[in-house]
Amino acid sequence: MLASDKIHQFSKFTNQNIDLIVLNSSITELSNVDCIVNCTGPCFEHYGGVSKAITEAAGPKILKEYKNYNSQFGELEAGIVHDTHAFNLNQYKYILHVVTPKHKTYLEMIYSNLFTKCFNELNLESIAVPLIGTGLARRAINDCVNSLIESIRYLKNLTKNIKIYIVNNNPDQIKECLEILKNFLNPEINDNDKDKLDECPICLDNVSDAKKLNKCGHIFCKSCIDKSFNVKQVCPLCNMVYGVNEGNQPNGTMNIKILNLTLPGYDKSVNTIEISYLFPSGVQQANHPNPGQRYHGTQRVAYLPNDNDGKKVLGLLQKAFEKKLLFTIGQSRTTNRNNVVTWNDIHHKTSIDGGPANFGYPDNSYIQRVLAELADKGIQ
Amino acid sequence: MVSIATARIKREFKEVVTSDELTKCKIKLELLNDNFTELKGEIGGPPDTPYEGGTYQLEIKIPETYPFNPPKVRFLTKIWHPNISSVTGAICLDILKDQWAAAMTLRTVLLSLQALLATPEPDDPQDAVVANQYKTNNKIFVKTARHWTNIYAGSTLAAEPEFDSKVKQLIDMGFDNHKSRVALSSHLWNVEHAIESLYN
Repeated sequence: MLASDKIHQFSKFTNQNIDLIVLNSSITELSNVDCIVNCTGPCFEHYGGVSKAITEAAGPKILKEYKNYNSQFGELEAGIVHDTHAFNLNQYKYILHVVTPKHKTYLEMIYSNLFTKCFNELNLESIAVPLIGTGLARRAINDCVNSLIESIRYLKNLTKNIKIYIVNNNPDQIKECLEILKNFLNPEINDNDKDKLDECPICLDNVSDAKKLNKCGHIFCKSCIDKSFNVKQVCPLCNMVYGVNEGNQPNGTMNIKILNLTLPGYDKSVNTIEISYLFPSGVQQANHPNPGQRYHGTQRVAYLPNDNDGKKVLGLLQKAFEKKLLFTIGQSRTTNRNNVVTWNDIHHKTSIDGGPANFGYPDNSYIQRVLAELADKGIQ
Repeated sequence: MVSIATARIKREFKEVVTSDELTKCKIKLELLNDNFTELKGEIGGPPDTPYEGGTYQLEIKIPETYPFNPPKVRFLTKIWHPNISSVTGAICLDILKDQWAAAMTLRTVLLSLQALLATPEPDDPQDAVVANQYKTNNKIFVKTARHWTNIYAGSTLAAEPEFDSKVKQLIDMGFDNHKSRVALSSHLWNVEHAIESLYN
């Protein structure tokens, strides 16, 4: 039995029938777990660490299994999950072997493959996984936990309650892992929250199936906040950003040119970035205000100083353009015409001069304002 | 099934109608149809502003996706303000666009609009002419805004009678009443410049 301070349980993780349990323990000393994971080399070789502990505890028979596999199939390839009996570790039904990946981008795939093997193919109910690559490979725990969570989010076709144990015997690494997990969890509703359950800020009715947001702690009906996040991933009460949503900007192009002139308010040595946007007319899609109807395209030009600030804004504007956030389809504020491509609340300087009233320079606070507007959309 | 938009508006409507705080702030809300998609709002001009004494009618349209998307609001009463179009009544206010949050209500919208009347944001203009006047000729801006409050929003406070006589001058030349007032307002009440712009 483990001391309770070494067990951290998160029930119904990511709202599925998944219990995530973090254990400060050795992976060879667990009970009530169906299978454990061994991160090893292509020939099941180990350089110490967890892999050595598992192989030694399982006993000499497992070495024969390794040899058999290598002679039959060659080296264990990255991403392949090979299952063996647990031999002397007979409290487990299986040991799942994977090769420690060379690059962090494989981590998510490896965790996904492990879960598929365990829950779908072997039809087991619990698995103990290490923080892959954080031992001798010295990979950041952050990368590992993020990949693990992503793969849990994509678990599908679960017909029963399952348990995923994250096991590590280093208390410092466990602490770091728990810190990272906090960012993903919907915190438990506690006694302090009771008065907040009377009214959901979205439907203004009693809160049903309460969901508490993990960063700001605000509480809503699950169905209400899910709908709200479909529109925009921010807290409806405090605007805390929970992710970058893609916008509904129609197809178009963004081109950059350097002009040999200086914007009013800038030093003569600073030339100017000219951004040209072009959006041809087209037909509105399902995520536009009037699907099926035509929309009128537009052509816009905007200016930025070609200094560090201006380049920073340009980079973020390009990111926002890729996320389809710079333009939208709606009613033009200036002409009142409907079904046109319009700005989407990230202000641009469409004139070189004339000051703020004419959408031009000089305007001392423009850079700060546009950075704040970009940040509001999660672009920073 | 009752949509979330309708259920929300029903509850909000009660809140605005019954709240004392709002009668004090001179805020009203009226239903225009049975399916809760069109409403009429009303806000009083805040004290110590050129809009004091005026009453402003607002068109409020509730989208199907409310409260996840903001209501569509515009001024029906004509107003001279940097962030409100003097022609269409369209409003430039962040919470009616990207800063809208599903927890906001019609009450917050009406109060925010009242706050916008008290603190214009000329650096983020809806009406560039007004914004420019606000920054470069603030005295004339204040007088003009007050004049519009008197003419269009029913205020009985100082009416700037010399403005009226200038408007009358243009009407006598055959120009439309409102167009004349807009032309004069946009040209710092310089009669020659206003006439020139009307001929263009």
